[in-house]
Amino acid sequence: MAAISHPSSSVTPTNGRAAGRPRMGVFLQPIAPPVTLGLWGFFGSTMVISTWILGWWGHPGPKDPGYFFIFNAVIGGVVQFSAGLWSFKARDYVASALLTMWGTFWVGWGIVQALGATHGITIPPFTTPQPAFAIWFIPLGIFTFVGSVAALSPRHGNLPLWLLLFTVGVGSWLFCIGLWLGNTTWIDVAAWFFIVGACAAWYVGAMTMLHSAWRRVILPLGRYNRASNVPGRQLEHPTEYALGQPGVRQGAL
Amino acid sequence: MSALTDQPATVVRDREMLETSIFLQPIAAPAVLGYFAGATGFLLFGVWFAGELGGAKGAGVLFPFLLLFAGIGQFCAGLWSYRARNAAGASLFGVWGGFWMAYGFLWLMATAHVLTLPVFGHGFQPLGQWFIYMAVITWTTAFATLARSPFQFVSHAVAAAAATIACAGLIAGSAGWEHVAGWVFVAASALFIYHGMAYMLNALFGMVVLPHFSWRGEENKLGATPLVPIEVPEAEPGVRVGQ
Repeated sequence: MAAISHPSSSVTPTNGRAAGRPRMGVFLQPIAPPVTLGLWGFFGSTMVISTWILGWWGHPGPKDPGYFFIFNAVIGGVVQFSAGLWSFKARDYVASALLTMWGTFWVGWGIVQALGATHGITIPPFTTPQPAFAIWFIPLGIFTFVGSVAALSPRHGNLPLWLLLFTVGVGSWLFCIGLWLGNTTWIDVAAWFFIVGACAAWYVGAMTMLHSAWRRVILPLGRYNRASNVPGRQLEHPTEYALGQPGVRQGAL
Repeated sequence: MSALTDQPATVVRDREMLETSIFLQPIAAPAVLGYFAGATGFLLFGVWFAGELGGAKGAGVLFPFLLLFAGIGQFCAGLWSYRARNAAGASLFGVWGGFWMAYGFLWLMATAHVLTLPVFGHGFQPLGQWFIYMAVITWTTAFATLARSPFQFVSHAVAAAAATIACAGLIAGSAGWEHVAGWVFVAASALFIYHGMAYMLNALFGMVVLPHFSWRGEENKLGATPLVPIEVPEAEPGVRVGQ
């Protein structure tokens, strides 16, 4: 409130200190990249359900999700959601919004399946139009697609992330159409988009983790400069005390 | 409140006026909890999966500890690994913690008669499918640990191999492969116990008691000093090491 009701004080250029106030400063704290864990959750959950939709394994109909929904809800949901919250500390606009959003989606889907398993609701097959479920995928698709535009940023974006968000965003809209109409062809096409997106999610997670662990490029980062895409190049110089405990030293387990 | 409202806000509009510093905060290694909880999950599940704990009846008693320690405990170690600045630990402990939580909930629902699980040893496609991706993730994480220590790579690779065999056994419905996977999980558990112990004992004794066999030769010499923590000995916990 004070900031609104009073004019700002002047700050001396010497030390950032206003009269009667403690010195103001900015402290930056390094952390491990949270995006990898979040994308692992997305990768596993999306692959399991997309391959099931395409009939690569299991039985058609609502029986199989009764067994794997818990894994999707916890690993794709809770784990991914937690990584999304940690992404705020990593100052990552895309990951903090989208990992958190997709984490809540998987938890929500898990709740629906749990209600189905306890006979609270009846879950219809994909051949039955489901507009109430389909409409979930409109905001999911919009925000994921917006993320794909952000991934084109020359400073912070990279092509694998763009591929991930673009395919999942478009796939969400196709899935929405399929669910709304009860049309399994649209749903199958969407599942293929999700598979491409899930593979890209594995790649983004792996390239980020390996880059952090090895302190050099292992898998090309897909950024818009040549150095980031040459394996073996060192791009970051961590701030650390080599004999310190974890946190003071980078990469210590 | 009055002190606050009586003073004007401090607003800086020039970046040069701000003092910016990088703030590093030491914490106890989350890998100790992560490896102990991970080892517990592999041990409990591995022995059960190898057919030694009485099938479904044994699992009914097994799952609460699996859910809480191997699940929630390991997941918390994964999240603390962010602050430890360790990407491999955050990924491995986080995802396996989530897996054991889900597996515990699965058994909870089966015990509560919400779900009927397949007969043990006759395959379980949905679980086998999830093991495919757990194997992919664990193999990837193993290559991250290779940056530091070939021995840790072997330990993580054994866990990844166990997950790979488990997915084959569950998808094919082969009790034999499930038993093999179970014992490989037990082997991974033993290796994880070693790493957890090494992190704890080396830090507390202030010297290498159990080496991780890392690439840097000096880190493997018994009695060498692995850490010289920054601390104020007579201060409170957090400012000094330990309580």
